[in-house]
Amino acid sequence: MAAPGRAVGLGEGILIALDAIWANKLRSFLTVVGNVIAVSSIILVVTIIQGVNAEVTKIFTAEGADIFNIKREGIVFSHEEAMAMRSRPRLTRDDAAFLRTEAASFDALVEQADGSGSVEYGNESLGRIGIEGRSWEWALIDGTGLRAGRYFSPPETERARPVALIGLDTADNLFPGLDPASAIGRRIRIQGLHFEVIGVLESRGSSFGFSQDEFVVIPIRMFERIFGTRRSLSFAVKPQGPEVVEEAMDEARLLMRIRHRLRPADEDDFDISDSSTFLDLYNQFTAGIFAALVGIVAMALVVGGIVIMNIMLMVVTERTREVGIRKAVGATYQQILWQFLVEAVTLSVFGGIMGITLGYAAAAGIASFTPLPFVLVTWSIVAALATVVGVGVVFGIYPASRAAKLDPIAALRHE
Amino acid sequence: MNDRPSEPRADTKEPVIKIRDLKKIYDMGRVKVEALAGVNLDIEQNEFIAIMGPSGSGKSTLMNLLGCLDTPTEGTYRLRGTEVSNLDDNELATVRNREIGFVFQTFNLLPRATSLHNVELPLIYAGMSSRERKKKALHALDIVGLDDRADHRPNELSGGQRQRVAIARALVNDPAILLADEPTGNLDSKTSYEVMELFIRLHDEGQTVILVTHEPDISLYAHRVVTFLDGLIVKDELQTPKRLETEAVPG
Ligand SMILES: Nc1ncnc2c1ncn2[C@@H]1O[C@H](COP(=O)(O)OP(=O)(O)OP(=O)(O)O)[C@@H](O)[C@H]1O
Ligand SMILES: [Mg+2]
Repeated sequence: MAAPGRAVGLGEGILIALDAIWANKLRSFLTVVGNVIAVSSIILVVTIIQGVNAEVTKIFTAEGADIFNIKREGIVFSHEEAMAMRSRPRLTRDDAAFLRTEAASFDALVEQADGSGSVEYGNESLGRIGIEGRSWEWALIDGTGLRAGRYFSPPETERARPVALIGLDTADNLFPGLDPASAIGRRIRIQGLHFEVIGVLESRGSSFGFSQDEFVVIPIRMFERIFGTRRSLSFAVKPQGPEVVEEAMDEARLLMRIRHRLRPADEDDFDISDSSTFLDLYNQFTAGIFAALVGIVAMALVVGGIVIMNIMLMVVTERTREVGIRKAVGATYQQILWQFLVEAVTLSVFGGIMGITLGYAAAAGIASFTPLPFVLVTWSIVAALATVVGVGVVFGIYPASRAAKLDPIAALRHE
Repeated sequence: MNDRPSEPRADTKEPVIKIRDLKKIYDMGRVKVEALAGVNLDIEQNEFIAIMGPSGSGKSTLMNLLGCLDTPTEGTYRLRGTEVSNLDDNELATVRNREIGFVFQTFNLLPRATSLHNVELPLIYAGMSSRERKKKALHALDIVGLDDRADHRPNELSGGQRQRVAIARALVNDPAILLADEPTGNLDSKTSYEVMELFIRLHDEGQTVILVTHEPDISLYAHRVVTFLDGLIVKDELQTPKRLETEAVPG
């Protein structure tokens, strides 16, 4: 006679719960405000960070995954570090020559320096646009490609010829209404000096909504004539293959230490990094944000859960008679427990779904007013739903067990 | 509803209900209330018993024990040959679900649920499929003459109709015994008559009916009247039941 009571179907439980939620709309909403806030904020932040991630990854991987950089200064986290880096030796063309001859694992090394200044053609004048100095090897590693014309040659680099490649927007702005290809051969002025346009680059795309195509590229020796040699160069290195990136970076480090006559105990006085270095750093940074967020959200969920628990205790008291009726017709402990647990979880999930909707609405709103892209992150929905289910179970179990333990006769007498 | 598929599990000679020296004592700290002071009672299949007695004499206490809503302090209770006085809460719930139909004075319907859902409730906890459930519940509503009120909620029904829905719920699991604690206590005399007509008809169809009442006219319909006083049976008499004056069909 003692067959264990089968649980009422999940659908049945959810229907009872939805009916109860609907019967007390305002109270149900107020009950789950904690969940709504917690879930919407986590969805919002995750969506924004994912949007930023997409952009950042695009930037850092744009120049090619296997290329690494040798620079005088690395990323700094404090004023002291920044000051310390100022005393490091500059990277010079002689360093570049040394590395080119000594390094066995390099395919190409590009000397580079960046500045900004004015560019003019006829009456058109562009102020403060990017001026990039490059050695000829840049042609080997440039991932952008040419729309028209050609890159500069080794002699043009070394003899500091006044030739320039221009970005697509710069072409448009200097020669409005003309086909970019017709820019080839025209004479423009960079910082007041005459240059011949020998190439127009393909679009580098945009990041965070800003165009990346307003720049000119000139031979590095020409760049030094304009801006002087006091500023440090940086080197972009293409290893001989993706599989030797680590090896090439180690070799670069070793050669630089020899070149700078560092002793074993000395720290590097230069910085070697590839795109993953920046991505790692960036990911650490976002992980920090996530950790802080998780803390805040966890607090909101605990508060929300306690509210749910209190409301459920109230609901159990209100519906004591109902429990009495259900027990009188044969509901077991587990069946009543299940019913109220499903109700608590449904309530909690109801808040979670409102939070997801609100979070995405806010993210979509932000995306429409800013250059940030809107990225729908599936795992954040799954995680949010799993969390609110967990909250429902954890904070619903006590009220549900109170209901399940009710004595049928006493419950039926309850007014 | 008299076509019960599962016949008595033990000796067919054994009565449906066999109670020996049943006691229920409420320990109120300083005083102990003996609500039942040692009751012996046998009830055979298809009896129609009226339980009478003054207020506080222990009628409801007995009904709650018979209905497995409560457990006795002492004594034994065999229901269809199975000892049920020492079952745990979940086992009692299962017995209530399978063997008992209970009708309360205050109806005890779920206020937000339709008649159909109220009647289905025992079958939900029995784990029956929704199609089968609906079929059985509609049949039970048909028996009490309320199949056309299946979608009504309790507040859309009269008192008599509510009690008939409650009776349909009590019948829906084909119970071994139908217990009713003052089922007409909240009804006017005309409606009481309709409800009693229903009990009589169920009894005629083979149901075992045990009914608590304060009203002598109601007890006249029973075959046997058991009278309580201070927790003990003081009178247990057979009688020729009064027949209904008309063969009116309720509805
Ligand atoms: N839960 C309880 N706690 C303490 N005493 C109780 C409890 N339930 C019933 N009693 C006592 O047991 C005795 C019998 O009560 P019971 O409800 O069985 O009477 P009754 O015959 O049904 O009365 P009525 O005709 O008024 O319904 C009464 O003295 C009552 O006070
Ligand atoms: Mg009573």
